[in-house]
Amino acid sequence: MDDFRTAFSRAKLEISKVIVGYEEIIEQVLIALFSGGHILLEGLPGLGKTLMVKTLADTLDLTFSRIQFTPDLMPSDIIGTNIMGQDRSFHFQPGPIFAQIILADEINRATPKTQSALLEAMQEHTVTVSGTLHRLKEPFFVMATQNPIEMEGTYPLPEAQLDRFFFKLKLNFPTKQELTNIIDRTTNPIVPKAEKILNGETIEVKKLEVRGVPVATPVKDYAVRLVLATHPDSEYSTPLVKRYVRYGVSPRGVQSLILGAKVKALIEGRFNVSFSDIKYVTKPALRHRIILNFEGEAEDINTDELIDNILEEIPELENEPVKP
Amino acid sequence: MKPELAKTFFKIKLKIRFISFINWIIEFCIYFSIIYIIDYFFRLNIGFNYLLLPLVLALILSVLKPIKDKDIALIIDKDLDLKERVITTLEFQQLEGPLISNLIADTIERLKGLNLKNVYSFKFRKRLLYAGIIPLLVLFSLFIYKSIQSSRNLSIAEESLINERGGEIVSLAQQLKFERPEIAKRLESLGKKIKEKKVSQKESVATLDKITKEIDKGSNSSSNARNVNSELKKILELTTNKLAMDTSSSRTSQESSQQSKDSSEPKEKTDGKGNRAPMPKEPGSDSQTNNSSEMMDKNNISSSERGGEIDANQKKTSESLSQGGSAEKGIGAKEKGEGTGKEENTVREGGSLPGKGERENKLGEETKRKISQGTPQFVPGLSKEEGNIKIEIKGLGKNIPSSIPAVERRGVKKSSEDPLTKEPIPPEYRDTIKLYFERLKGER
Repeated sequence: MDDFRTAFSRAKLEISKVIVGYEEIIEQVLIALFSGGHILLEGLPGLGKTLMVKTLADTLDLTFSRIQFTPDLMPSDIIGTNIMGQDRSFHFQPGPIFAQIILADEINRATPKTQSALLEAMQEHTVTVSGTLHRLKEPFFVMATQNPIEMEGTYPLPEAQLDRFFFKLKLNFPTKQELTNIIDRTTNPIVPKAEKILNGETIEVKKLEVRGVPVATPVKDYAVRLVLATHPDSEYSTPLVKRYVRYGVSPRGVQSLILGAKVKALIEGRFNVSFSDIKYVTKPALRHRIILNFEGEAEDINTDELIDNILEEIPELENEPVKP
Repeated sequence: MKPELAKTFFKIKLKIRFISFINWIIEFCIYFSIIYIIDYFFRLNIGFNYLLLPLVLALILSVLKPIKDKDIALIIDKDLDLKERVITTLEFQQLEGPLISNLIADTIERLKGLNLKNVYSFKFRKRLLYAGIIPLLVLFSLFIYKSIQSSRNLSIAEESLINERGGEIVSLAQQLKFERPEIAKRLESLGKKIKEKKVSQKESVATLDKITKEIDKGSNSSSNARNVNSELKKILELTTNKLAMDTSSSRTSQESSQQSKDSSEPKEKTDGKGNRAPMPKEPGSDSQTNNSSEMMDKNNISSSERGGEIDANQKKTSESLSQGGSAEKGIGAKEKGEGTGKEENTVREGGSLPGKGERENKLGEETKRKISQGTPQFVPGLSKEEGNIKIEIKGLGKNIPSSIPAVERRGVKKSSEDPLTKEPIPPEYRDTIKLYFERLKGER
């Protein structure tokens, strides 16, 4: 366990050498990586999304490729295609998806057809071209980005595809001090560079280790109640959820909660998951899985507010223990 | 359960039981203090055996109340911020693997080092705080209840005293209506004012003093009139004293006024050593009016009652005023029969009933006994030297005690007499009526 904690801390430290601020975001990115999930990053252009992914790839000694999503991007442009060689036979030419860390930049600008090609690969970790199944190299980690303000000419991701992202992270604008640090780091002759800390094999071992972390029944019960509370017709739902939510979180949400909490527990130096771990990952794991109703959309309700409300309303223990 | 974990858990359970035992004791002691608070206010005379009950109950509860391992684990995790280590360990202890063994070792390590007492007992304090509020509330409510009750009793006692005094003055005024109309009028007005609480007791005392002085001024006529004035003055002085006593006693406390009221009545009946001097019985007193005899009879029944004293004196004055020198007949007369003293100013021992035994005090003198406030009690009646009044006592004697309470009897009598005394006699008929009654007396 100490290995995991050390590796995690070192990876975080190396990324922080290049990326100014966003410590929580970096931690959550690493949590998703060790959980075997993918990340949807939402933020304005120029906030360092691409740099973050590149630095991560450098730190982890993984192959990296970037796909800029545009409306004319075709699935074969991502997946790859069969091309005829000099020997007049078709050979598979792998697309950029055949890397370990993928940056799907502005994923909402591509057509749903292209989006779905990526999303299939994300879910199955395989690609099928002309009836031939091609397995992607592990670890396979996708970081998709989307711009929340330029929505014209975009194809917002459907709920079913959003659900495939382990976490949705929101990048906020840096603070004054962070901006100063960004200037110092990026405009000097010596640009800091992250060192390689982990490789793919080590990450796979750690991923297995994470899954072995025990979760007590009351903690699991808490995670389940949190997810159920996002459903307007559930007995645990809060008045706010009943008013503004159309559909609640899918079972993938609970998986994300528990897996993310397990990694968090190991980061914290524990061998078990606690309520605090669950709470820590609740927002990134559930915010993109809650679908607002018309009233919620009209009133511009933020799903983070709903999650805060749920966390306040749902007690950790459903039945308080009897004190002697 | 693994042996080391089981051992640690057993120790924790033991500690928790002990802490819960201490907490139960404190809690029960708080609850049982309510009983002692009630005892303090209502004097239930609860023994000290009750102190053992909290101990016994706490012991029973802390030993017999079942404690689930899961509950203990959850409580410890929550209260000691162990991040669900204990409950997870408890649940996964049977599994094998490096993570689980690390988890168990980590949990045991943390459980050994923690100060269970501080954290666990702290969690009980809230409950104890709530429990502590209950006796305080009981104490406060009983205190309020008692003070309201005592003030109410005090006001009732004061009111009854004021009414009594007012009534006495009014009845005195009625009796003086013919002989001293101007004084009667003033007394009646004063009595009514006292009853209606229009004057304070101090003012009443001052007015009575003034009237007394005026009587002094006007006593330069015949010797008979001087005697009458002297009698009247004495009665007024006595009433003034009583009013003054009421002022001091009613203000101290309800209890003291109650004591002063009750002190004489039962004692005189039981031990027969009351200070109130019964009126000596005299021969040849048949000629006196029925009214007078009734008053004496009442005095027999409850000589302790203050009203009785003043009525008797009023009656005597009335007689002396109406019969002129007839009161002088009693001077130096020898007593006869049972219950008479050797001399007029001495009585035998034996209580409130007339003529039983001798006593040291002369009539009208201050007795040795003091009531609780230190106010001297006076022997009712008039001393031989100053008072030339012959008093006849008619009554059933000590062998047949009255079954009707004195207060009740007096109330009935008063209510029946009031309309008669209040009946105004037109001035032009007064002489005629007086003559008529004198003639009747002569015929007898």
